[in-house]
Amino acid sequence: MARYKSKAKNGTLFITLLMISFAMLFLPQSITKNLNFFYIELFKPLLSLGKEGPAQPFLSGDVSQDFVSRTEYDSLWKAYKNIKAELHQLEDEYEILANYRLVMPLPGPALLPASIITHQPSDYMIIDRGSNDGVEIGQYVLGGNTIIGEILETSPATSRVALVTRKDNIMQVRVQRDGSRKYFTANMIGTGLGNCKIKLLPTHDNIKEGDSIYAAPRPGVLGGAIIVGEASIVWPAKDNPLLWDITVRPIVSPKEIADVAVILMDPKEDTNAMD
Amino acid sequence: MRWISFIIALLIFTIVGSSNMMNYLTIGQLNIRPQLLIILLLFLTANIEPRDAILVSFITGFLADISGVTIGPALIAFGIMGSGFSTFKEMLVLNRMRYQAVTLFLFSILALATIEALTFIKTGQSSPKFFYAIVLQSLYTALVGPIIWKGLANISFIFGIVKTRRRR
Repeated sequence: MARYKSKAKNGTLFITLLMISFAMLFLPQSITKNLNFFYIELFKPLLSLGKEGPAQPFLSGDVSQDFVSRTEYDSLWKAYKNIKAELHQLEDEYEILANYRLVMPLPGPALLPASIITHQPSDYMIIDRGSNDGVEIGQYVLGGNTIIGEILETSPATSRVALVTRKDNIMQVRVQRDGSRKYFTANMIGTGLGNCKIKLLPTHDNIKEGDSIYAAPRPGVLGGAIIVGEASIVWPAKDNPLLWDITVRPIVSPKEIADVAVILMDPKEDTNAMD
Repeated sequence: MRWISFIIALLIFTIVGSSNMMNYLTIGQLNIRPQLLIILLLFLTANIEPRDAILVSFITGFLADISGVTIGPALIAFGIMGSGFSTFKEMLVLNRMRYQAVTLFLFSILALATIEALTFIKTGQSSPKFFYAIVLQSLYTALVGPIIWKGLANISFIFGIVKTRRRR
């Protein structure tokens, strides 16, 4: 009899907890995300322990004056690509402005430096800046001079960043070749496997492996094109040979960087923001 | 069951499991990593009373959710499966590492598949190649699990678990 009562009590406890669990499941994400952010803010110092990325295999040995290390090469290459994209944009703007013979100073975007608290599975990361710092959903995040993701959720002090490689993450991009001003606009979709795909470009568009992929300017979010990656595999799609199946390799692995910057296109007065 | 010890152990497992320290154990682009909370959950539910096991399962699930991206999927998966496991544990022999590994593998597959399905229902997001990811994560958990299980068994007195020696 006592055993039966005990089992009945266990059953009641189980059913009660299960109902609470389902209630939590069906609560909107905009409410339950606060619990996730609360946990992150509570254990922030512990979660960021051990963030150093894997050792760089290219740095061993002396480097001759004629060569630079792989890390430095990548860094210079990214800066070169960004300057080139900026140059193209400035040339376009100059042509328009020259017609009016009027030069208006363009306000540049503010960059809000942030540290990565932790990397999460499924291509998310948590940064230590939130809505109190002017961070908003949809803003782009720079890491190592490239766009690495965009703000997905914010709390007052922290934010969750969805990386460009996150599965089904869509970003409008430009595919452009070195030395050419012509570019193709397309949607880049994350695969969740460390790279991205561009699928809806027709094969008569002249695209080759090594072409650069830039995040396309978005009003209120991004003023000029910024490098994201390069086309690593360009091949006609299996299901439709008239369309390209382009694999995009991001320039930088988020696990190799510790600090990022959020692009605030509409900078608020913030002592931490640097122009 | 000593609840303070359980909460401390649970917090340690949760923080380590969700911190950047796990990057050292992560394999491949699919982010394959051992599920520390599943190991702790299975160890405890195998050794405590069914009523305590129900509470432990739901609390562990809640911590798994709170350290992740969304609330609900692990709470339900761990709650149901941990409670279910505590009911059927009498039929299982878990005194050898290989039995523990097999149990951990099967439990992980079911729990991770449930979490994946519920996460998709809530957020509309699914992991890439989730079938491979679930199988590989379960394998990894089954490989690492018995070692951690042994460590937990050595300090099981802090949870108030009394060791019983089987007679041959």
